[in-house]
Amino acid sequence: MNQETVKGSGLKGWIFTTDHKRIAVLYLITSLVVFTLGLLLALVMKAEQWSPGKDIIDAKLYNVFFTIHGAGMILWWMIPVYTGFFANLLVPLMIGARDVAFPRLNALSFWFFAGATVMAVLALVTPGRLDIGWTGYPPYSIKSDANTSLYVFAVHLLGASALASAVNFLTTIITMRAPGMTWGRLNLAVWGILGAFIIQLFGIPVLAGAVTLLLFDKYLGTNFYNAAMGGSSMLYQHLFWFYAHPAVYVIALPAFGIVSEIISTFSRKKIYGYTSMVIAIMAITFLGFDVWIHHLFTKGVEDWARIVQSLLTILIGVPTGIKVFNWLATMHKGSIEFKAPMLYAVGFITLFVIGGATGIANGLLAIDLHVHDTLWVVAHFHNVLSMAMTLVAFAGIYFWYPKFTGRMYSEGLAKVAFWIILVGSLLAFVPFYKLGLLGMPRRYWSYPAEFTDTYRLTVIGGYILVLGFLLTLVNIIRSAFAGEKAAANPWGAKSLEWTLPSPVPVYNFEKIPVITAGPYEYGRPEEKAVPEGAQAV
Amino acid sequence: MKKGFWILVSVVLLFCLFSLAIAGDRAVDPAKSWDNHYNLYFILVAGIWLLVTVLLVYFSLRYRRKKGQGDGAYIPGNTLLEIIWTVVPLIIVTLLGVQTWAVYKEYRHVPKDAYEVNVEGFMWGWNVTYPEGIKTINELRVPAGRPVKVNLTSKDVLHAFFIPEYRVQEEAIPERTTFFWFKPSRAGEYRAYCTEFCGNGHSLMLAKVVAMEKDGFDAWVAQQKGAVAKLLPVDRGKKLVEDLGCLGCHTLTGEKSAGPSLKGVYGRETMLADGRKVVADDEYIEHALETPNRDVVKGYTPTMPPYKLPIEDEHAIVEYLKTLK
Amino acid sequence: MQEKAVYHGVEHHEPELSAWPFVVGMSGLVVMIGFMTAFQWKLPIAGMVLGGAGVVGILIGLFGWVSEVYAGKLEEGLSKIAVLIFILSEAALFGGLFGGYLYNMFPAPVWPPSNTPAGVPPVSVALILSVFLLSSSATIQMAETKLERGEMGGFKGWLLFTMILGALFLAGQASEWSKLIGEGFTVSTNAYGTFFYTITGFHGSHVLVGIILQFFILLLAIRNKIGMKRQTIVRACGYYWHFVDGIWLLVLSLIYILPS
Ligand code: HEA
Ligand code: HEA
Ligand code: HEC
Ligand code: CUA
Ligand SMILES: [Cu+2]
Repeated sequence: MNQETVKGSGLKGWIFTTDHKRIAVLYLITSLVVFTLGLLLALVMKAEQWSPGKDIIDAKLYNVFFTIHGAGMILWWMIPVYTGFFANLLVPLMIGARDVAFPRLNALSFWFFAGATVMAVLALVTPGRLDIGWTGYPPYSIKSDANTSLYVFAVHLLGASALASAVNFLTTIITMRAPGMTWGRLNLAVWGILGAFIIQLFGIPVLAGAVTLLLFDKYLGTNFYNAAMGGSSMLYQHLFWFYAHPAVYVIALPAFGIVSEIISTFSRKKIYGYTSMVIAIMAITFLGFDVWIHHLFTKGVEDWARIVQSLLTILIGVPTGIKVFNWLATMHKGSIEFKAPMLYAVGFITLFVIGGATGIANGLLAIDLHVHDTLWVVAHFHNVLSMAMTLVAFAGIYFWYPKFTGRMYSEGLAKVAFWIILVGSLLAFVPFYKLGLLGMPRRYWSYPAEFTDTYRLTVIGGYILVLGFLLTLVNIIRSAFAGEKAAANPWGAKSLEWTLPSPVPVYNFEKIPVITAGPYEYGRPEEKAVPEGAQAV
Repeated sequence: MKKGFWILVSVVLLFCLFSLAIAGDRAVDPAKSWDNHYNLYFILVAGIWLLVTVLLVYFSLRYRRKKGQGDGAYIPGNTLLEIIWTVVPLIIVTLLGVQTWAVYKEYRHVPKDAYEVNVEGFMWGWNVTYPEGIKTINELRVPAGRPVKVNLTSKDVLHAFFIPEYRVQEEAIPERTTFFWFKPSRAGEYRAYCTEFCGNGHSLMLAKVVAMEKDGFDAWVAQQKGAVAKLLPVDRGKKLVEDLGCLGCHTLTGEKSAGPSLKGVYGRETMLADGRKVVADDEYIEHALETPNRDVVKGYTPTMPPYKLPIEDEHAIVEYLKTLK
Repeated sequence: MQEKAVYHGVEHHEPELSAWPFVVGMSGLVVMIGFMTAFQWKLPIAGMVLGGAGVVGILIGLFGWVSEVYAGKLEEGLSKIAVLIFILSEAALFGGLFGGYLYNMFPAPVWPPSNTPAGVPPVSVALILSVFLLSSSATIQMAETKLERGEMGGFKGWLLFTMILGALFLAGQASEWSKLIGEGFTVSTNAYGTFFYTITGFHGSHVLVGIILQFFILLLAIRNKIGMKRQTIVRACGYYWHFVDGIWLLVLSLIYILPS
């Protein structure tokens, strides 16, 4: 990447950097590494699923693999790519700041995350391998010979990283907006990131507490989760999901924001219903904290709590629906150009509505009594995570690729990959819905013989998917060195970050801009027009 | 005046939806209600998905940018439309929510004449105790046509007992009792699974649910009460090894798993972790069952749980292991 | 909201290179691996060496960090908003612990469970401790007032007084703990014991952090790095201290008074 704008070159310039754009890239690389690792593990699991009983790995290893796959995908790939990579790249540029409020703290966040990544790798190569599920429920996680302390300490490092980021970015968004950047002119991506960090701020301490108590119980003889001594193993599940449910919105809210940016830009149309979009984001943020029991519908929780939280859970479909319909309305009467990010965003919407709808089934208390912990749930979350949210991550990477590399990705490769991914993921996960309804539980190393054919479909799908991923990876890496040089604003977008050159100079803004209009003023009629090149005056 | 009219309309509408949601086959059988509930859910969300996807494809084609075309139309929003797509989903989720509530009440309301069995999960199997004092392992026999209540608990870690046929599952929690009930309407053999992750044997922790016609069931109870299965020790040992979840860690094929293979284990010279060499005789195997972590086989981590079995069961297992050459 | 101006007005801000975040972050990893060595691999000595090295690394890193910040002309220090946001997350941590405590307490037939020794919890001791801690809220407030008026002498005095009260609180709690452990009431006695030590321990560690922060401010004040113009860190410390006191009231009522 071009050296003349970056102070400090070579390795030192990266390791000691406090520049939010470089930190963003560090996050991206690290999470892509764990993502790739997670995919490899998934492939081994898939191979194991070719037939009932043992194909290539035994039950213990299968359990280890889905634990590290699940934890890695959520805690190292999805959450960091949104709250690490996208937040770092976008927030200062979109609010008109030269950096975040505390650049050094920001670097510390990354290095804690890097430390956690080292622990994730240790989890694979040291004895006492983790076979406790990404959820780590006691008493099994206490009784198993797994190195539960590794899981706990990795979560501590991730938590420290996330908390520091949350404080940093909330402060940045509240206090460092450029003059004229009112709340009503904020990009929806920034709103989404704001919601995500609010969740991190309140949720992470509870998760950190929950796993610390696990550590105490396992190694120091305390009784938090020991029912025989007046403790309760269910307490862990409450504390865990109090964070881990909202955590899925830590992923989803920034993703929603990014989709809004992309749809508006490529439809060349103002985002529809800005205010209701913002209200929906905040509604999801806060509702998200009141629904964790939907993971515990079959776990002996009081009936009234199950009912109340079931109703609140499905209520989340309403604000989410508002977003989906607003995206559709934004495309209506637009002038749509199907560059790769737009293609991905459109694919996202239809896949996400399937995943969201099956989430509603989980949320419906009675239905969940049957589908809980079956492959139906596995299909639900791969539908939203592995299909929808991962698609958005890549859409966003392509969309802002010029801003952090100064080059363009390969459009053709990206589009081919899209179709491979689409076919592959439908094949890989839709049959799981059927198996789930037939009663096939999740986290099963072996399965009844009559399910073999359906399982094999999903195995084939999984391998097709990986092809798509390889193309994506090649695209991202190759284009960083060999891509075409990018113009400052290749999409003709109107948001603030596109007023800067590609790649963005280290100091971002020569002068702090004064903002006079919102980020989506496409096709504004003459009499209300703002000067071309948007808001920076 | 106008406001009042709309409120009236909404109330009437909601009332109709409400009735629709809880109406239907009132024959008390949660599994049937589940199917109705799921069908309504499926029709609604499939409709929503179709609507979204059709519009998405249509807009993508219809509003595709033409050569030289500039920006799209400037439409910041439309309050009425936005209210509509807030209120309609709201009504749909209310409808589904009310129905789920009603079905759930059915799930938790156990009929008085229910036949009550106790099920205890352990690593890795299920102990079933019947009101007549009979015990079975990994097999739940119930009389068809009569509601059955299952009281669940667990001996060690969390498990969950799931019978897909009856659309119901609940967690088995140590030191606590949870319950569910179901109505086996027809005779037949179904599968039950453990759905809470519980370690190596999780995917082998299956059980059989056998719903029997009343006469057959009564006969079975009488027979069980009379004679505690007079199986040959070898057969009994085989059944125990299968039922107790040994195969979660041991293979019968000579391959290593979490534990050494049981093939040819009897009479084998075994190297222990502390360097001693022992020959696996009756006593050694019985110790291996009771206090497995005393003599740990070299190359394995001591994960085998201790089994407290009646002495006859231990003998039976040894007899069976002798046959695995 | 003065912090907003951090980079405004500076024409070309070049992000600086700083080694310290890397040092602190990696030392954090070493501490974790040290703990793990002691807990899981049962090598307490090696664990302690690693953990100790990590802690030293963190301290060096923080020291370098702070010197760097205070040497520069930009105040990248604390901002009040940031501290308020941070306190919110601390509130969530205690919320989780108290929530867990109540979750175990409400269904219990007797609380604390019957194998708890008599005289637990020691309410009278707790009341005395409360006096120390609550009055320290007032003294830190006094210190801030003095600072606003520019009376540096008074500021340092009241700050020192606050620290002494905090230290008395901690000493009292330590002696209470050792007495209870002597009577056979430990973390493993039952769930009440577990929560008792964990919650009072977590709270105590927050008091300790507060005292360290105050010590630090005292040093800065002695070296004239703090004055009427630079008081953000003092305000921040004040908020934090009041928060810790507030939590103590919850500890007092839920852990001490409610069960007895
Ligand atoms: C980013 C990730 C993500 C997202 C966005 C979601 C979104 C949702 N999830 Fe999902 N979920 C997970 C990730 C995610 N989930 C994961 C990882 C697990 C498993 C964890 C584990 O156990 O390991 C899980 C598990 C899970 C469960 C537990 C299941 C079980 O274990 O039994 C439940 C239960 O309620 C649930 C519900 C929902 C709901 C209601 C939504 C809603 O937010 C969806 C809302 C969206 C829509 C509804 C579609 C768009 C709306 C419209 C078009 C409007 C009209 C619609 C209606 C009127 C219905 N999820
Ligand atoms: C982000 C989250 C995420 C992602 C991406 C994935 C990806 C995959 N997962 Fe994962 N999975 C989880 C989260 C995720 N998973 C979680 C939380 C669990 C539960 C763990 C537990 O139980 O504890 C789990 C468990 C789990 C299991 C265990 C099921 C069980 O027995 O219970 C299996 C088994 O097959 C599986 C398979 C796969 C496969 C085949 C892929 C991949 O191969 C899919 C391939 C994906 C790609 C190839 C990326 C696709 C998208 C792009 C590359 C973007 C580019 C886009 C375009 C080019 C259009 N997963
Ligand atoms: C959690 C997994 C697990 C389960 C379940 C389990 N075992 Fe084991 N078993 C092991 C391991 C690991 C070893 C080797 C280490 C040891 O000796 O403790 C072992 C050792 C043995 C040995 C000694 C083998 C030798 O080569 O000397 C016998 C015999 C045995 N098990 C029988 C059984 C029987 C019978 C059952 C069921 C009632 C059973 N095991 C259930 C894990 C298990
Ligand atoms: Cu028992 Cu899973
Ligand atoms: Cu959830």
